[in-house]
Amino acid sequence: MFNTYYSRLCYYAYKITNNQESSKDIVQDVFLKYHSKPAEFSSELAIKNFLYLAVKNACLNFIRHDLVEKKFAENQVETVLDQDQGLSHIIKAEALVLIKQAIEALPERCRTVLKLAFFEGFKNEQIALEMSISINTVKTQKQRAIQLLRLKLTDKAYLLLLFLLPL
Amino acid sequence: MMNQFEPLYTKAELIVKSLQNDLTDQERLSLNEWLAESAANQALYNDLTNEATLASELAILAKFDAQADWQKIAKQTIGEQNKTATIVDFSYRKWLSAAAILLIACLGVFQFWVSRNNRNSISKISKHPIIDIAPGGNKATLKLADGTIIILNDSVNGFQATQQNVKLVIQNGEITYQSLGQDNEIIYNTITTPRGGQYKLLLDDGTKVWLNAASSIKYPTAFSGDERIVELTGEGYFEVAHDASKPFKVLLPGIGKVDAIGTAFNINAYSDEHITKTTLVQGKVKVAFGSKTDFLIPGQQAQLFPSGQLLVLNQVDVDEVVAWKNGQFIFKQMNVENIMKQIGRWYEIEVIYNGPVSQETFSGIVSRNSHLMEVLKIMEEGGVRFKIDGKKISVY
Repeated sequence: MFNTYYSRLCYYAYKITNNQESSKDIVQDVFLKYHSKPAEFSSELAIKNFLYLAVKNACLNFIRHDLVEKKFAENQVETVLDQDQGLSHIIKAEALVLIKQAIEALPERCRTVLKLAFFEGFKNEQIALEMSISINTVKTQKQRAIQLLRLKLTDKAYLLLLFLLPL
Repeated sequence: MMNQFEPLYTKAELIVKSLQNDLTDQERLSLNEWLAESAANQALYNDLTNEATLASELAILAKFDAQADWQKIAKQTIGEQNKTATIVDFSYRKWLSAAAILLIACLGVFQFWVSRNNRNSISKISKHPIIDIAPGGNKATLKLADGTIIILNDSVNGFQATQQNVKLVIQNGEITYQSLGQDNEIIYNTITTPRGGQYKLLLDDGTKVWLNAASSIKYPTAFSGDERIVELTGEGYFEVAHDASKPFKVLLPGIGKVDAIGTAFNINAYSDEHITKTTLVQGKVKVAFGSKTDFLIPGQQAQLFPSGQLLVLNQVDVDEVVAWKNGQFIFKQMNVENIMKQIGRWYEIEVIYNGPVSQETFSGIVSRNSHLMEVLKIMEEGGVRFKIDGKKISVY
């Protein structure tokens, strides 16, 4: 349970609180809370929903506390956290986990290149150095990985318009 | 509400599928609708589909490593364990006798220590991020006479308690009642199974009841008086303990009742099945629906139609009827619609029909422990097509 949901919950918390350590604390506290009330969930989905809700509430409290400390008024606190903002982060969290799982399934070299590029944020030159391969190889492996994942990645935002054309 | 999150999980799946170029027309429509709703949605989509921003988002996700942070939380939990063992936060606490064993709090922490490394990784690159749907299992809720609700599942094991002179034991998906003395007051408990659930019950008189998914049974914790009465909705299989002095009656609210004396029978009274079917396996029963009554001999099935008509069939396939209680699906020349009704309840999926479906019938035996795909194979071989999307299955 912990292994499955930890990183996405932390990502979610981080998106709201913008504080890495606090995010980890919040999620770990939520897991402790979950483990002190066993046998109350009817399905894994119910557990997942509980975890997200608990993290969301804990993050809101954290922000409220943080802002109050900085002497903001109560009504200002509410506007800082727009309901939708919170929810969209969950979509991202879930999507990222799915993409990460797909990446983990790639052949070794491909996977390493992609992980260095995506997870570690390495530039092509850095990857080439790290793996002792040429920059061209890095580019080819990246292409191959993206093809294997059948990811359609764009460089330009306005290409989105293509998706909005009626069928 | 808990369900505020589920649409979000679906959106995420849609987005990843669109990245992989794996959307059905309906899914694409759905996604486009969502994108058209707001600029924020488009921006979110962009973040996930633009190489640069996706990379940075994945890098953020990578900052939080479960393995690395495990050590910290593990140490903390040892401290918590000693506290949670004595803190019992459940409302049924008030009627537990001194001899009761409170394993639940300790079990929760124990589960944490033995939990499997749940990486959920996809071992092959597949077209669908979601692989298969798991079968149902021993799941139910137990409602006590005072209204307290206890959730039953496989983590509630070896649990014992006593309510008003009746001992209750929960073990391996079965709940057993045992009267410890004479008690005149009858108190009722109700077990309800969700879709995807099932449970077994051993009543105070020795009667065994198997409860299928999406069903419920209301029964006294101990029988007294000169009748044994229980109430059923959905589907249950009964092996009634013989007691000629106390007839056993199963009430079917809104439908009728089945009287038995030392018998084994199956009652299927799902409201979405239209016809209520009582099948006698052994012994003798009397069925009473409205003003009509009839007696059954083994192998016969009484069918009550919504019109009020009562029909008795001879020589029905008993194996097919009771397969569920033996952990199997047995289909003998059954059509798609009827198969899907059973499957829908066990795998907790919603079935959607896209246009007219083949009227072909199918036969097969499949374990109820199988993943959904195994069961669908029977029909796929006959040309029926399925598309699974989360908890919805479309039939072509």
